[in-house]
Order: sequence, then C-alpha cells, then structure tokens
Amino acid sequence: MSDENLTTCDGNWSELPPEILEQIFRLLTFPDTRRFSAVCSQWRSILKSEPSAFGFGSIPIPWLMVGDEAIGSGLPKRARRIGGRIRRFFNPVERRCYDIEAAEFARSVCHAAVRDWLLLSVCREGKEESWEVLFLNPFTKERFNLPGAHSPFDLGVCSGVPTCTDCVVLLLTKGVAQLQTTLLKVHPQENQDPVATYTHPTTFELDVLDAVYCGGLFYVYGMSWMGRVLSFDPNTGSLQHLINMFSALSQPLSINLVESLGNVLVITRGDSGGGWCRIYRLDLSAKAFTTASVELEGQLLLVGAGTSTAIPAASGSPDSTIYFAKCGTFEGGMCKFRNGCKNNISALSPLDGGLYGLPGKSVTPWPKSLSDDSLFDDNLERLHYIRVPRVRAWADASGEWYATGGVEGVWIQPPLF
Amino acid sequence: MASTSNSTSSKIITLRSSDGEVFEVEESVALESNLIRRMMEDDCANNIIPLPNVTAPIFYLVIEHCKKHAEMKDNKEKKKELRSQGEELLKSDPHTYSNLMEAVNYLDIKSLMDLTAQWLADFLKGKSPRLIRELLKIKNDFTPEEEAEILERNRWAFD
Repeated sequence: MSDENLTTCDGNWSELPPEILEQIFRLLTFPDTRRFSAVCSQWRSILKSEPSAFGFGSIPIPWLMVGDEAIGSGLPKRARRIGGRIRRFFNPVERRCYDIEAAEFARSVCHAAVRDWLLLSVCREGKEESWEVLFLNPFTKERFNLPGAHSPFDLGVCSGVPTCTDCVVLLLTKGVAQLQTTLLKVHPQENQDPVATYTHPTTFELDVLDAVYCGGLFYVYGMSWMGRVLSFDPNTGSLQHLINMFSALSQPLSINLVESLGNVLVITRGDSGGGWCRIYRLDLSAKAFTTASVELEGQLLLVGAGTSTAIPAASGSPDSTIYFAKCGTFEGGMCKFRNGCKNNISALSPLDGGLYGLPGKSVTPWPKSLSDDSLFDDNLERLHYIRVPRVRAWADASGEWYATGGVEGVWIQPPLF
Repeated sequence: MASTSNSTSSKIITLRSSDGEVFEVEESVALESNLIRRMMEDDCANNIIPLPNVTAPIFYLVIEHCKKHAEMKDNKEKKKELRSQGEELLKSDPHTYSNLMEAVNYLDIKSLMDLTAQWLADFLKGKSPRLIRELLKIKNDFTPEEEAEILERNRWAFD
C-alpha cells in the first residue's frame, strides 16, 4: 500500500457522519470498541463520548478474575499459584479470557473488588509473613498503598471506590472465639493509617463467609453451627448480632451477601436435587429475613465473596440471572430464574461452558457434579460447615509462590476508556 | 419487488444523481429508500427526483444492492452471494464502500444500512488498530504520546 493511496483516500472513513460510525460501533464487542478507539481521533471521540452505548449494553457485565489453581502432591487444597505478574480475566459476554499484567500481581492475594479496583495484599519477596496492602486498578495501573493495614486479613469490604473522599474499608480477620475488624478511611493523598482496630469476642467460632456494605453499615455473614448476620457500624465500631439464619439442616453450600437496589440480599446455594438457589432479603428494621425467595427486580447478580455486584439486566431479558464466581465450596456457575417461579431454580448450569482451571488459553468446564470430595475440608462433616482457608502465602524450594485464602473468583468492572 | 410477477404493473420512478445521470427505477425498489418515499409522499412523484448527494456509480451500486436484497429474502444462497459481494467491495475498494454507506445513510435505506454496517463490523472484528487503518486507508492522527497512552491502557485488548 503506497503512501499516495493513504493520502488520496484519507478522510473517508475518519470523516463519515457520526450516525454511521455509531451504527457500526454498536455492533462491536467490548474489546473491539477499545481497538477501534485507537484507530483515529474521530473514532475515538465518538466512542468516548458515549462509552456506555457501545460494547454490549449500558453497563458492561463485570469480568471475573480467576485464580491459577495449583494441584500437586504436598500442596494444600485450593492452593493457587501467585508468583506471576499476570492475572487472567474472563469476560462472560464473549466467553474469552484476557491476560493483564501488573507488577503488583506478583505474590498477591485479592480480598475485595469495588468497581474497577482490587484490594490486594502483596507478600514481600523473601518474607512470607510481611505484607503490603494496596488498592490497584489493574487497567489503569493506578495504585494506593494502605500502609496502616495489617495483613493477612481474610476479607475486605469497601464502601466505595478508593478515589472517593469518604471511602471506608473494613478488614475482617477471623479467629477462634473472636472476630477482629480493622477500619480504614481511605484518602488517597493523605494519611491512610487505620482509623481503628476492634476485637469482638464471640462465644462461638465464626467463619466469615461474606460481607457487604449497604446504606452506611457493613453486613457480615458468618457461619458456626448456624448462620449469623452481623452488622458493623463504622461510626461506632460496634458489631451487632442481627439475625440467625439457616440451620445446618438447610445445607447450603455457599452463602453470599449482595447489595441490590438498596437491599441486602442473601444468596444461598446447595447441590441437593440437582442444585438449588434461594434468595432472601434482609428486613433490617424487623431484624428478620424474608422467608420466600425474592424477585431480582430486573437486576443481574454477579456473586462472589467480597466482590458481589448487581447491575440492571439487559432490557427484554425474560429471566433473571445470577452468575456465580467460585465461592464457598461451590465451584461457580449460572442460575436462571424463571419469572413467576419464585422458589425454584430452573437450571443450574456451568457458566457458558465454564472457566475454571484454565491451562493455556483453553477454557475447561466448571465441574457439573459436586461429588468430588476434594472440594471439602478434611474432618468436617459435609455441608454442615463451610470453612474458607485462612490467607497464607509461601514459596516452595524452587521459588514458586503459592497462596490459599483470600477471594478466589473476583468480579471486577471492565476497563473504561 | 424486482423479481416478483407484479413488476409488470410496477410504476417507474425517475431519479437524477448529483452528476446529472438519470435513472429509471421500479417503484418497489425505490421505496426501500425512506428519503424517496418521503419525497413521493410530498408529491414529487411525477417529476424527476434529484439526489444531490449521490453520484451515479454509487447510486448504481445502491440500486443493485436493493434489488439483490429484495431477492435474497428467504434465500440463503442469495444472502451469501450479497454478503460476499459486499465483503469483496470492502476489501478491494474501501473508498467506494464508505461512499456506499454514506449514500445508503442519506437515502435512509434501513435494511441496507444494517447489512453494510454488519459486514464492516464483521470484517474488522478482532483486528488491530494498525491493520484497520491499513485496510481502510485511514490516517493515524494521534501524536506518538497519545498513541502510546492509548495502547498502554488497552494493552489487554491488543494481544
């Protein structure tokens, strides 16, 4: 192609009326919108002017950051490789993965995600007990350190993105007969030391499964011989017992909290009878929960410990859908709720062919059956107790880094322009 | 439509391109264009309809595509044929393809607009910005700094 050609024909495609380009851009997949935006400035300005109009739907469906599972003799169950600087992100819309590199990913464990930010603990090289805690935007590579935060903690919850002025972060550390909470107020340019650390004695061993922020309070779901919902008030530092939920008899395999339209939803799943999923809404004033499964009110739920989010479902969608990341002992999948079918699940299927255990670029199905006992911890009666491993990172003799704990499947909003 | 038996009774519409060429087109084909439809409703039907924004070669292409599009309904073979012709034009002469899209947009022919946009999107899907520029002969008007920043932020999409 000669330069002459380039100059004589130049102007046509970059100067087409915007309505034509818009029509073309509406047909693009999300990554194609990014590629097209790098072609010329006119295309870029159109794509940037209304980023929500292009690349499937008004709010992009979050991506799932997946762990690099490590299976081998001598490795604990659910160990992951964390040495590399690359993490893999699965886009459920396209059903493909993207590899994103960041220096901070090496030796990192993720605790939470809020929009396009991740809350990470990074193990210092050569020092297995020494951690840095930071917020990372893996797409823009922006980061904020949280020097006063002490890891390893088990789960983090954020009231908002770290760039907003009143972002509060709750770090939860579980222990025998106590639950420790550390509260941070994040001011990116200012002091980031924790506001306070509280130790809350409990009369039972409480395994924190999930936590969520809603309307000024943090809600924590913990499990002992029965489920409990606790509320944490960041203004007073008090942890209150709200509700007992779900005796062991109801046998949920995973329990998650999601904030949706100003409500806290409790999402439970089990595998009996081909798989089931029920949604409850906390009635905060009555300190109770709705006993019947609730409607999703047009929201699409993306569920995973510490990273759950609700977005408006695409208009015209007949079913309400929940996407599950790996959470609890459950491996992930997708549920569709038929309208008018409140308490039952119409199908529990692997999410579009699956995405876990991704050697190379290939996508292997999520396990359909939960009969694999290796998913469950030793010495615990199945289903009666959901034990999430504590956060731990270590290097083996060959220098390969591994971790357990943290959040294994992370929903994160895909990159904006 | 052009291929159907009622073409014997079909009215002929006369149109004039911007470079002065006069076209006689069956009404059923001409009415695919909402612009022409509106003009006829405004009672210009007995006169020659001027199309000041469309040149003769492009208008010829538009009519051809409209006819084929009418034929292609429920015909997979024809559909494929039309598509491969569109793709061929896009590959061999992207300049004309962009003029075609502009004319289709101006004439407001929705079915053809959808098709030409879809072909283009399919053709460029997954291609790098550099390749898209090369194929469509678009000049890179970013500064090196701007381009570096865009590529850095979106590196995940370019691998």
